[in-house]
Amino acid sequence: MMNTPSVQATLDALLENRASSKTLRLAIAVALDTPVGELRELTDILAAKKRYELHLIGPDETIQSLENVATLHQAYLPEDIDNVLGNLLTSGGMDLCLLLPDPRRPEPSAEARLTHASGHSTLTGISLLCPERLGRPLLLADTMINDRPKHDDLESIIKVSQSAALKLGISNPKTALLAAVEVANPGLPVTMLEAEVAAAFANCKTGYVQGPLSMDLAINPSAAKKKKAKGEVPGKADILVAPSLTVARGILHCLTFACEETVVNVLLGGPIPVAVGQRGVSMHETAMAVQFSEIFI
Amino acid sequence: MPAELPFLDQPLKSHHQVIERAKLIGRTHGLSSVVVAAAEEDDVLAAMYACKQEGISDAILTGNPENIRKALDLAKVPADSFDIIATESDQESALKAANLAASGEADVVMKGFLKTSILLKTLLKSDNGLRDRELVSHSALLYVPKYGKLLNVTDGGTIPTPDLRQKLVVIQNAVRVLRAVGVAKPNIAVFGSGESINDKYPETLDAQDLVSVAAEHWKDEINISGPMPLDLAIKKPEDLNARINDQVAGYADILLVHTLEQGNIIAKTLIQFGDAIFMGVIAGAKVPISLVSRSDSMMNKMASIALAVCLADFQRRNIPALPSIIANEQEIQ
Repeated sequence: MMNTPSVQATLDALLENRASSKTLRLAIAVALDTPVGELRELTDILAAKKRYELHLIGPDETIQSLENVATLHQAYLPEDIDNVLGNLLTSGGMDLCLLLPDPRRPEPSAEARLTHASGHSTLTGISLLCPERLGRPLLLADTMINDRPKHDDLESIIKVSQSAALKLGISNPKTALLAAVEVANPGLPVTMLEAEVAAAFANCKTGYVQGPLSMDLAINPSAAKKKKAKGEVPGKADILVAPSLTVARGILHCLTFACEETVVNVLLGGPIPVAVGQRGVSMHETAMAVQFSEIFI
Repeated sequence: MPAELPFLDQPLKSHHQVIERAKLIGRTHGLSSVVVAAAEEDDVLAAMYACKQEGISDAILTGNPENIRKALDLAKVPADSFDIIATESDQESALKAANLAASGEADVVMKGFLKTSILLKTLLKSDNGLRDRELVSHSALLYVPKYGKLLNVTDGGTIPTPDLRQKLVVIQNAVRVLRAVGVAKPNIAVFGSGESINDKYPETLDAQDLVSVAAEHWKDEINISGPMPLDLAIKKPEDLNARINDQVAGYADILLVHTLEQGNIIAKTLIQFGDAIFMGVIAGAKVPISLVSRSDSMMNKMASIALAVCLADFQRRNIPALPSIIANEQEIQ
């Protein structure tokens, strides 16, 4: 195994280099069913970092007993939370936002609500992990918004992902457009679309884009070698772009629950970066998502 | 005539158990015979040799004898390890394999150095005798260490975008594979990005229709639920803070996907990041069809062949899997 820095170590190193004394205003959208104990743990973790001023939006009975909180915005119904959140985001009163998973709004609509709340429609969900076996950070997109991205959507997702990779210090990021096969095939329309999009990035100066590529070829150097894959990306991808939201979320859930990778999520493209929590993960990981979002201020 | 091997009364839980079961079948009934169509592929030959050494299966090779001998040499396999049947084209290799399987001389067909489409087209031509009454589909049976049981991701290999009728047959084939490894009443999660039905996401509507039809007709044979995201399929609802009462949630045996790329990418993610062991088989024909990839590890290849041997043993017993609910199934291939 390689000595790969963890997600926490990667984020700490990035934020240390850009440390400023400014306190960041963080809006946290709480769900009705968020256990108070977990929320207290989260706010304690965030408060201990001494970087954030916490502004909670949610049901009174859940948020009123919390300490370390600057303001409380009482809202019970999901649409009320959306309205408060939308006002906070568009008024310029917040630097960051955290969406906690809401069981009343089964995924993926839980994330899509930000589109509604912020009025922006070009959001992209980016997830970060640092798999020990790869020896480098890996980004996955779009894990939250675009159901079946078309050409323009994919171009946008790639550009946002490249920009995120550069913020993480990855120069000339290598993007793999994921599919089941490596050769464009009219029987698999996604592969034709990905080949077109990859061609559109042929002269890209920001990094390399290649597709269609299967998952093993994208990240596994020995699979790429065995299959004699050509190009800069096979075996070395820094960014994985999924062909659909269903696939992206499937990968995200595989990584989180079947592979036990730490994965943190951020929504980019709105007025401010938005950290997105995931059900079933620890509050420490949720706090890491906030740190991840901070990189994009 | 050897005594019949008792059928499994407990589900197999790992690839090791699948391999041990295949060995037991071999010890009881003699080694299963795998015919390799177009065997000029060193990687496949190495796997076949390892299977023979381990007591999982024997092989018959079809193809160009000179090229096969070169491939055996490259794979460091003794030249006299297997019988070779000389053919002059990929089509003839596939046809010979089909004939051997149809006549009962081979229990499993394995893809060698030829296109999958050529192999399947030849095997499934009705006059070659291998077409069963069903559509064929690919099952990626995965042992995921952190899940602790087998998960069949299907179909990530043969049908790009199955419609409702095809998905019903994919379920039949997937259940047959799971029965072969001892899962009596499989839990089937119909894949989705979320668990709610939403007009904006057509797959959620498809999942709803599929669950409704399958649950009505097969209520005694399977548990089925969906749309269901992968986290809910493999993690208990209480671990996800999800207030859902569902007998499939957290215990899925089958993940039924809507497109080939969904199945392929999910399976490969589990392999590449989760140390999953992959066992791939095409089910639905009269004999299992085994495909291994050059990039598969030797363990994956051996486990895939072992699974095909277990499936062949199950099919030989004529144990019913799922009753058909579709008329004219042969029209939907």
